[in-house]
Amino acid sequence: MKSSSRWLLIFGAAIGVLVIVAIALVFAMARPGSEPLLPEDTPEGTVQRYLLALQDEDYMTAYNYLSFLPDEQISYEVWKVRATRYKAGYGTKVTLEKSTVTGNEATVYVVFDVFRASEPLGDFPFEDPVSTRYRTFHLKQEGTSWKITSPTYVGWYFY
Amino acid sequence: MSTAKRVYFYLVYIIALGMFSAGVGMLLRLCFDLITEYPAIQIGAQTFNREALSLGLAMLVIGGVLWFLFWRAIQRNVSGDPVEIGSAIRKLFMNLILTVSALVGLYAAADFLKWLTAGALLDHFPSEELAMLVVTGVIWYYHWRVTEKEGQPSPAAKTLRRWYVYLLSGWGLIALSANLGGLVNTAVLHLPVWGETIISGRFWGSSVQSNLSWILLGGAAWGFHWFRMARGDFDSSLRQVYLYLLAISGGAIAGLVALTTSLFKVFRFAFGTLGTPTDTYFQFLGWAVPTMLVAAAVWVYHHHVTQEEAVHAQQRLSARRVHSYLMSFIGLGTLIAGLIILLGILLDVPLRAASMVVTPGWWYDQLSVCLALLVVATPIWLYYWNRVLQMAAKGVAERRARSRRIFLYIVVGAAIVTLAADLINIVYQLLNGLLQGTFGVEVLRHSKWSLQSLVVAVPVLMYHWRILRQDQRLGAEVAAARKTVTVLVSDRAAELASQIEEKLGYKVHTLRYLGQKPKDFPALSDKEISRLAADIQAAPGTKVMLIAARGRILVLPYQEK
Repeated sequence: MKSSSRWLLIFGAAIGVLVIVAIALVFAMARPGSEPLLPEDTPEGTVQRYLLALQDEDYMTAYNYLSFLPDEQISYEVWKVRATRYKAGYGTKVTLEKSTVTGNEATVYVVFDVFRASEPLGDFPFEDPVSTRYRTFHLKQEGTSWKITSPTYVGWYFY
Repeated sequence: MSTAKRVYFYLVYIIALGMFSAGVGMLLRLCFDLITEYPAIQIGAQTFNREALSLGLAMLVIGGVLWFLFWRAIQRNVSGDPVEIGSAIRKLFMNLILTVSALVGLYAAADFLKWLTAGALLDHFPSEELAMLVVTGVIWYYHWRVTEKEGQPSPAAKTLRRWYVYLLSGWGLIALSANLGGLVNTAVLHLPVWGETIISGRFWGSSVQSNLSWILLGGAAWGFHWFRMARGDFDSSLRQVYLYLLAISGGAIAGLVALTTSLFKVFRFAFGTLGTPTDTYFQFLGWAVPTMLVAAAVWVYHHHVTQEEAVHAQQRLSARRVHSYLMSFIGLGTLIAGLIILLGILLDVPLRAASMVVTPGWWYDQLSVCLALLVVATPIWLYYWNRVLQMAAKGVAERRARSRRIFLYIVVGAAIVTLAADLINIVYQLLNGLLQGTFGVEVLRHSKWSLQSLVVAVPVLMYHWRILRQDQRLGAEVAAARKTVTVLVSDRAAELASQIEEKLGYKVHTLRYLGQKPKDFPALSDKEISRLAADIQAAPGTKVMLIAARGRILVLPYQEK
């Protein structure tokens, strides 16, 4: 067998293994609907529930996790119109990275990976179909619960 | 294969390879993400992962099949045929794949190394970079093996390979040198000798990690391409471009900039301009000293290489010549700048004396700059200009060289324009002062810059004008009447074309004789080459064919119908 053919066979076998491993991992490590819920009275738990509510299109629940500044206060109806306007068809994965709590204020760092599957042949394969955004949520404590003070608008993390 | 068919095959091949590798990369990244992010709290991961898996599989399968079919068809067409193997289209695409995969892979490797040196935190695992590194590494290795095995059976193939080799060598050398300087600079800035620091970042930060990664990767890229792939490639113009224009000229310019800046700062300090200098005044040494050392190392090493290779590459003069004129130009320009500033200080003496308020030590900064420029520029200009004069003494061919003509015309042209502009301003200021009745110190003040540059431009113009005229008298401009010279030689007599080129002062076309090779072609003496060049010039018409056969060279003037 020619040396170049031998290498092709080796690469082919490696790719075959990769395909099997990828499929196995996706199905074996999937946690459909069972992402562990963090305690609700923590900043991370609040952000997690807020994002889950958005994902489930439960806008009222999501709205209730927000706390607006007096001059930025908007009604649920207006907020919902804006939130649904930005509803994108892309698969978005959100990873909670870390959080810091100082007194009654907290910051939660999250990573959004947006998968632009609806246009795979746009600039792909010359452009990465996954765009990653690093975002920061600011929260303040109100009684025993935490409320998101920023960002209170929705669209930014879909793009 | 026809050219159109080749372009079609390789273009589709390269696009299919892009799709295939993107699909493999996506699956690899997905696997890395799934393993490393498993403990993380995620929202929407299932949909995301399935989308990535679907697209990755689609790209892999479709791109892979397409890639395999086209690669097999290409290889079947090639199947040991030296014409196909050496075709410019094939080599262009192969070297393009090598260059792109090497560069993308190196950047991915740098990110991965940065992650490793930053403590290899699983939270920040560089899945995308590692996937890209694996994919580009495999693509590069496979295509590198194929190209190395099949060789470079045509001049076009050799040239395209050289573009890849010297591009990567140059890139690696720059990455290595720049990051060595950067690393030492960061280390020096973190030394506890710069006074009381209020806030200081850690030494082992992202900048040091990045420097270290690039030192490793730049060094590896340079070492591999320069020491292994470019080994023994003496008969290459691109090698001379790399040696003289990138390594030697680049090293010299970087070192000179650092030296000039350092001298300026040292003179400023010595003249006491600063009063009490701040604790951080000498921090510039952190970048200037390593820059000078690295630049000197690059310069000395590559200069040494050119000396060693002089025996093999004596025929390749153009890059060496361009280097000499380039360095002469830089030296001359810097020298002129230093002299202009020096004259400015002399002219400022009467002007300041006439001022109401004179700041003590006003000339310190100007003198520091001027001395720094003169100290650096004078030896550089003398060294390189002396070399140029020695080259010119060899004969009229050197005086006809394009780089020499460009150098002389730029210098003379710039001097004439400067002189004209200076004279206009001086005459205008004089006339205006006389007519307005304001003739005095103000006229001198407004003519100062013009006087400075005029005094320097006059001798520069006179000197170079004389050289230009001398060149013209010796027939340097006759070179415009060049002939199209084509040399038909076998491999054994390949040096003949270069020797004729050197004597004529311009390039000749070379055709390689593929028939039965003569046993040996006698080496021609310099006198014989000169006679050959004279025969070419004396031949009727504008086109000459040289055929080296049976130990002699036929000079055949011809004309196309």
